[in-house]
Amino acid sequence: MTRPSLNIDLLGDLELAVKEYRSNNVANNNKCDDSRQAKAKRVNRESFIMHVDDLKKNMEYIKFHNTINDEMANEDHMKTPKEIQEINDTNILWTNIENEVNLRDDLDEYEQMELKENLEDQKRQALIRDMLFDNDEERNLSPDKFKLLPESNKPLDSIVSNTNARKNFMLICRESDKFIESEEFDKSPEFHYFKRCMQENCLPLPTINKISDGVLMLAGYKLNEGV
Amino acid sequence: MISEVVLENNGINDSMLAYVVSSLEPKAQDLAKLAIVKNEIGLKASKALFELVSKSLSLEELKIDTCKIIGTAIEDLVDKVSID
Repeated sequence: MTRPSLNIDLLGDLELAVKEYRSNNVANNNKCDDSRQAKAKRVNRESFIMHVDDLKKNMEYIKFHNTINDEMANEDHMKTPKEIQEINDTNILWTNIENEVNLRDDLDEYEQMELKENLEDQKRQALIRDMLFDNDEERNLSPDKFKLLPESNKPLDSIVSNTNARKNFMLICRESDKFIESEEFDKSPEFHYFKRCMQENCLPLPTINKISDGVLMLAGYKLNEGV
Repeated sequence: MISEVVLENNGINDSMLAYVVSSLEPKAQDLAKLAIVKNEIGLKASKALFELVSKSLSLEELKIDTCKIIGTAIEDLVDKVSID
Protein backbone atom coordinates (compact mmCIF):
# COMPACT_ATOMS: atom_id res chain seq x y z
CA MET A 1 0.00 0.00 0.00
CA THR A 2 1.39 3.38 -0.90
CA ARG A 3 1.66 6.01 1.76
CA PRO A 4 -0.63 8.91 0.90
CA SER A 5 0.77 12.32 1.65
CA LEU A 6 -0.68 14.49 4.38
CA ASN A 7 -3.55 16.68 3.22
CA ILE A 8 -2.87 20.08 4.77
CA ASP A 9 -6.27 21.32 3.49
CA LEU A 10 -7.82 19.49 6.43
CA LEU A 11 -6.43 22.25 8.62
CA GLY A 12 -8.46 24.74 6.58
CA ASP A 13 -11.54 22.58 7.10
CA LEU A 14 -10.97 22.59 10.81
CA GLU A 15 -10.48 26.35 10.86
CA LEU A 16 -13.77 26.80 8.97
CA ALA A 17 -15.52 24.49 11.41
CA VAL A 18 -14.24 26.52 14.36
CA LYS A 19 -15.33 29.80 12.73
CA GLU A 20 -18.74 28.40 11.91
CA TYR A 21 -19.08 27.16 15.43
CA ARG A 22 -18.16 30.56 16.85
CA SER A 23 -20.53 32.46 14.54
CA ASN A 24 -23.38 30.06 15.38
CA ASN A 25 -22.61 30.45 19.03
CA VAL A 26 -22.72 34.27 18.84
CA ALA A 27 -25.99 34.18 16.90
CA ASN A 28 -27.46 31.81 19.41
CA ASN A 29 -26.34 34.00 22.29
CA ASN A 30 -28.31 36.90 20.84
CA LYS A 31 -31.47 34.99 20.02
CA CYS A 32 -32.07 32.31 22.56
CA ASP A 33 -33.07 32.35 26.15
CA ASP A 34 -30.92 30.63 28.73
CA SER A 35 -32.24 27.10 28.33
CA ARG A 36 -32.30 27.19 24.55
CA GLN A 37 -28.91 28.81 24.56
CA ALA A 38 -27.49 26.02 26.68
CA LYS A 39 -29.06 23.45 24.38
CA ALA A 40 -27.73 25.17 21.25
CA LYS A 41 -24.31 25.39 22.86
CA ARG A 42 -24.35 21.71 23.59
CA VAL A 43 -25.49 20.84 20.05
CA ASN A 44 -22.80 23.08 18.58
CA ARG A 45 -20.18 21.56 20.79
CA GLU A 46 -21.26 18.09 19.74
CA SER A 47 -21.22 19.10 16.07
CA PHE A 48 -17.73 20.51 16.57
CA ILE A 49 -16.58 17.23 18.14
CA MET A 50 -18.25 15.29 15.33
CA HIS A 51 -16.51 17.48 12.78
CA VAL A 52 -13.16 16.82 14.43
CA ASP A 53 -14.07 13.12 14.42
CA ASP A 54 -14.80 13.29 10.70
CA LEU A 55 -11.50 14.97 10.07
CA LYS A 56 -9.74 12.28 12.00
CA LYS A 57 -11.54 9.56 10.06
CA ASN A 58 -10.33 11.18 6.88
CA MET A 59 -6.85 11.11 8.31
CA GLU A 60 -6.84 7.42 9.16
CA TYR A 61 -4.07 6.88 6.72
CA ILE A 62 -1.87 9.42 8.42
CA LYS A 63 0.80 7.85 10.57
CA PHE A 64 0.99 9.20 14.06
CA HIS A 65 4.29 8.62 15.81
CA ASN A 66 4.70 9.16 19.46
CA THR A 67 7.95 11.02 19.79
CA ILE A 68 8.02 10.46 23.56
CA ASN A 69 8.68 6.78 23.04
CA ASP A 70 12.44 6.36 22.95
CA GLU A 71 12.23 3.10 21.11
CA MET A 72 10.29 4.62 18.28
CA ALA A 73 12.43 7.74 18.35
CA ASN A 74 15.49 5.58 17.87
CA GLU A 75 13.98 4.24 14.68
CA ASP A 76 13.91 7.71 13.13
CA HIS A 77 17.26 7.21 11.47
CA MET A 78 15.70 4.33 9.48
CA LYS A 79 12.95 6.52 8.04
CA THR A 80 13.03 8.21 4.70
CA PRO A 81 12.89 12.05 4.52
CA LYS A 82 9.34 11.72 3.16
CA GLU A 83 8.25 9.66 6.17
CA ILE A 84 9.89 12.11 8.57
CA GLN A 85 8.09 14.96 6.78
CA GLU A 86 4.77 13.09 7.16
CA ILE A 87 5.40 12.60 10.88
CA ASN A 88 6.28 16.25 11.35
CA ASP A 89 3.19 17.36 9.41
CA THR A 90 1.02 15.08 11.51
CA ASN A 91 2.49 16.41 14.74
CA ILE A 92 1.95 19.99 13.54
CA LEU A 93 -1.64 19.11 12.73
CA TRP A 94 -2.25 17.68 16.20
CA THR A 95 -0.59 20.72 17.80
CA ASN A 96 -2.75 23.09 15.78
CA ILE A 97 -5.91 21.26 16.77
CA GLU A 98 -4.85 21.34 20.43
CA ASN A 99 -4.10 25.06 20.18
CA GLU A 100 -7.54 25.66 18.68
CA VAL A 101 -9.09 23.88 21.63
CA ASN A 102 -6.94 25.81 24.12
CA LEU A 103 -7.91 29.14 22.55
CA ARG A 104 -11.61 28.51 22.90
CA ASP A 105 -12.56 30.88 25.68
CA ASP A 106 -16.29 30.32 25.10
CA LEU A 107 -16.09 26.87 26.65
CA ASP A 108 -15.98 26.32 30.36
CA GLU A 109 -13.27 24.26 32.03
CA TYR A 110 -15.30 21.06 31.94
CA GLU A 111 -16.10 21.41 28.25
CA GLN A 112 -12.48 22.12 27.38
CA MET A 113 -11.42 19.08 29.36
CA GLU A 114 -13.99 16.98 27.50
CA LEU A 115 -12.69 18.19 24.14
CA LYS A 116 -9.11 17.49 25.16
CA GLU A 117 -10.04 14.01 26.30
CA ASN A 118 -11.72 13.43 22.96
CA LEU A 119 -8.57 14.52 21.17
CA GLU A 120 -6.36 12.36 23.37
CA ASP A 121 -8.63 9.40 22.66
CA GLN A 122 -8.28 9.94 18.94
CA LYS A 123 -4.52 10.27 19.29
CA ARG A 124 -4.42 6.92 21.05
CA GLN A 125 -6.56 5.35 18.34
CA ALA A 126 -4.23 6.73 15.66
CA LEU A 127 -1.23 5.39 17.57
CA ILE A 128 -2.82 1.94 17.84
CA ARG A 129 -3.70 1.92 14.16
CA ASP A 130 -0.14 2.88 13.41
CA MET A 131 1.21 -0.01 15.45
CA LEU A 132 -1.26 -2.64 14.28
CA PHE A 133 -1.46 -1.87 10.60
CA ASP A 134 2.07 -0.81 9.79
CA ASN A 135 3.18 -2.40 6.55
CA ASP A 136 6.82 -2.36 7.51
CA GLU A 137 7.54 -6.02 8.25
CA GLU A 138 10.69 -5.22 10.16
CA ARG A 139 8.71 -3.44 12.84
CA ASN A 140 7.24 -5.85 15.32
CA LEU A 141 4.36 -5.26 17.65
CA SER A 142 5.76 -4.78 21.06
CA PRO A 143 3.72 -4.74 24.26
CA ASP A 144 6.25 -2.18 25.51
CA LYS A 145 4.73 0.34 23.15
CA PHE A 146 1.41 -0.08 24.90
CA LYS A 147 2.96 0.89 28.23
CA LEU A 148 2.45 4.46 27.04
CA LEU A 149 -1.29 3.97 27.10
CA PRO A 150 -3.29 4.55 30.28
CA GLU A 151 -4.63 1.78 32.48
CA SER A 152 -8.01 1.92 30.75
CA ASN A 153 -6.39 0.53 27.59
CA LYS A 154 -4.98 -2.59 29.29
CA PRO A 155 -7.34 -4.93 27.35
CA LEU A 156 -5.29 -3.97 24.33
CA ASP A 157 -2.51 -6.14 25.71
CA SER A 158 -4.55 -9.19 24.77
CA ILE A 159 -5.07 -7.82 21.26
CA VAL A 160 -1.32 -7.33 20.92
CA SER A 161 -0.51 -10.80 22.24
CA ASN A 162 -3.14 -12.40 19.97
CA THR A 163 -1.86 -10.50 16.96
CA ASN A 164 1.72 -11.43 17.78
CA ALA A 165 0.79 -15.09 18.18
CA ARG A 166 -1.02 -15.03 14.86
CA LYS A 167 1.90 -13.31 13.22
CA ASN A 168 4.36 -15.88 14.62
CA PHE A 169 2.17 -18.73 13.41
CA MET A 170 2.00 -17.21 9.95
CA LEU A 171 5.80 -16.91 9.98
CA ILE A 172 6.10 -20.59 10.88
CA CYS A 173 3.67 -21.56 8.10
CA ARG A 174 5.46 -19.42 5.55
CA GLU A 175 9.00 -20.43 6.36
CA SER A 176 8.45 -23.92 7.72
CA ASP A 177 11.14 -25.39 5.44
CA LYS A 178 13.80 -23.39 7.26
CA PHE A 179 12.60 -24.50 10.68
CA ILE A 180 12.39 -28.25 10.16
CA GLU A 181 15.82 -28.88 11.62
CA SER A 182 15.78 -26.05 14.10
CA GLU A 183 15.81 -27.10 17.76
CA GLU A 184 14.07 -23.92 18.78
CA PHE A 185 11.05 -24.63 16.62
CA ASP A 186 11.08 -28.31 17.46
CA LYS A 187 9.72 -27.30 20.88
CA SER A 188 7.11 -25.00 19.40
CA PRO A 189 3.56 -26.42 19.58
CA GLU A 190 2.57 -24.20 16.67
CA PHE A 191 5.23 -25.83 14.51
CA HIS A 192 4.09 -29.35 15.45
CA TYR A 193 0.49 -28.35 14.76
CA PHE A 194 1.52 -27.06 11.34
CA LYS A 195 3.50 -30.24 10.57
CA ARG A 196 0.52 -32.37 11.57
CA CYS A 197 -1.78 -30.31 9.36
CA MET A 198 0.61 -30.80 6.47
CA GLN A 199 0.77 -34.55 7.09
CA GLU A 200 -3.02 -34.83 7.16
CA ASN A 201 -3.45 -32.38 4.30
CA CYS A 202 -5.53 -30.00 6.44
CA LEU A 203 -5.67 -26.26 6.29
CA PRO A 204 -3.59 -24.97 9.25
CA LEU A 205 -6.05 -22.53 10.78
CA PRO A 206 -4.52 -20.39 13.53
CA THR A 207 -7.00 -21.85 16.01
CA ILE A 208 -4.17 -23.29 18.08
CA ASN A 209 -3.76 -19.83 19.55
CA LYS A 210 -7.31 -20.08 20.84
CA ILE A 211 -6.44 -22.95 23.18
CA SER A 212 -5.74 -21.87 26.72
CA ASP A 213 -5.58 -24.17 29.75
CA GLY A 214 -7.20 -27.01 27.84
CA VAL A 215 -10.08 -24.85 26.66
CA LEU A 216 -10.66 -24.28 22.97
CA MET A 217 -12.56 -21.01 22.97
CA LEU A 218 -13.94 -20.12 19.55
CA ALA A 219 -16.17 -17.23 20.56
CA GLY A 220 -17.00 -14.84 17.75
CA TYR A 221 -14.54 -16.71 15.55
CA LYS A 222 -16.13 -16.94 12.12
CA LEU A 223 -15.62 -20.21 10.31
CA ASN A 224 -16.30 -20.96 6.68
CA GLU A 225 -16.43 -24.03 4.49
CA GLY A 226 -12.83 -23.56 3.40
CA VAL A 227 -11.44 -24.86 0.16
CA MET B 1 -5.21 -32.04 25.94
CA ILE B 2 -8.44 -30.19 25.23
CA SER B 3 -11.09 -30.77 27.89
CA GLU B 4 -13.46 -27.96 27.01
CA VAL B 5 -14.68 -26.59 23.69
CA VAL B 6 -16.75 -23.44 23.27
CA LEU B 7 -18.26 -22.76 19.85
CA GLU B 8 -19.94 -19.38 19.98
CA ASN B 9 -21.27 -17.25 17.15
CA ASN B 10 -19.16 -18.92 14.47
CA GLY B 11 -21.49 -18.04 11.59
CA ILE B 12 -21.85 -21.66 10.51
CA ASN B 13 -24.89 -23.58 9.37
CA ASP B 14 -26.16 -27.00 10.38
CA SER B 15 -23.95 -29.11 8.10
CA MET B 16 -20.83 -27.11 8.94
CA LEU B 17 -21.52 -27.43 12.65
CA ALA B 18 -22.00 -31.17 12.12
CA TYR B 19 -18.59 -31.28 10.47
CA VAL B 20 -16.95 -29.33 13.30
CA VAL B 21 -18.59 -31.49 15.97
CA SER B 22 -17.64 -34.71 14.19
CA SER B 23 -14.05 -33.49 13.99
CA LEU B 24 -14.05 -33.47 17.81
CA GLU B 25 -14.84 -37.19 17.95
CA PRO B 26 -11.20 -38.37 18.11
CA LYS B 27 -10.84 -36.25 21.24
CA ALA B 28 -14.19 -37.30 22.69
CA GLN B 29 -12.51 -39.33 25.44
CA ASP B 30 -10.99 -36.22 27.00
CA LEU B 31 -13.82 -33.81 26.40
CA ALA B 32 -15.53 -32.72 29.61
CA LYS B 33 -17.54 -29.76 28.40
CA LEU B 34 -18.98 -28.71 25.06
CA ALA B 35 -20.81 -25.43 24.68
CA ILE B 36 -22.60 -24.44 21.48
CA VAL B 37 -23.89 -20.88 21.59
CA LYS B 38 -25.47 -18.68 18.91
CA ASN B 39 -25.08 -21.26 16.15
CA GLU B 40 -27.48 -23.27 14.02
CA ILE B 41 -28.43 -26.81 14.98
CA GLY B 42 -30.33 -29.02 12.56
CA LEU B 43 -30.66 -32.74 12.00
CA LYS B 44 -27.06 -33.18 10.82
CA ALA B 45 -25.55 -31.34 13.78
CA SER B 46 -27.81 -33.15 16.25
CA LYS B 47 -26.77 -36.49 14.73
CA ALA B 48 -23.10 -35.53 15.04
CA LEU B 49 -23.72 -34.41 18.61
CA PHE B 50 -25.32 -37.76 19.41
CA GLU B 51 -22.31 -39.59 17.96
CA LEU B 52 -19.99 -37.43 20.05
CA VAL B 53 -22.01 -37.84 23.24
CA SER B 54 -22.27 -41.59 22.81
CA LYS B 55 -18.52 -41.95 22.30
CA SER B 56 -17.50 -39.61 25.07
CA LEU B 57 -16.88 -41.14 28.47
CA SER B 58 -15.97 -37.98 30.29
CA LEU B 59 -18.47 -35.44 28.98
CA GLU B 60 -19.95 -33.69 31.99
CA GLU B 61 -21.71 -30.77 30.39
CA LEU B 62 -23.35 -30.17 27.05
CA LYS B 63 -24.53 -26.57 26.80
CA ILE B 64 -26.76 -25.45 23.94
CA ASP B 65 -27.69 -21.81 24.31
CA THR B 66 -29.32 -19.22 22.04
CA CYS B 67 -29.08 -21.50 19.03
CA LYS B 68 -31.33 -21.57 16.00
CA ILE B 69 -32.92 -24.98 16.16
CA ILE B 70 -34.17 -26.46 12.91
CA GLY B 71 -37.04 -28.93 13.05
CA THR B 72 -37.03 -31.42 15.87
CA ALA B 73 -33.25 -31.63 16.15
CA ILE B 74 -33.07 -31.24 19.91
CA GLU B 75 -36.01 -33.54 20.61
CA ASP B 76 -34.39 -36.21 18.44
CA LEU B 77 -31.07 -35.75 20.24
CA VAL B 78 -32.67 -35.97 23.66
CA ASP B 79 -34.71 -39.02 22.62
CA LYS B 80 -31.64 -40.80 21.28
CA VAL B 81 -29.57 -40.01 24.37
CA SER B 82 -32.32 -41.08 26.77
CA ILE B 83 -32.97 -44.33 24.85
CA ASP B 84 -29.25 -45.04 24.72
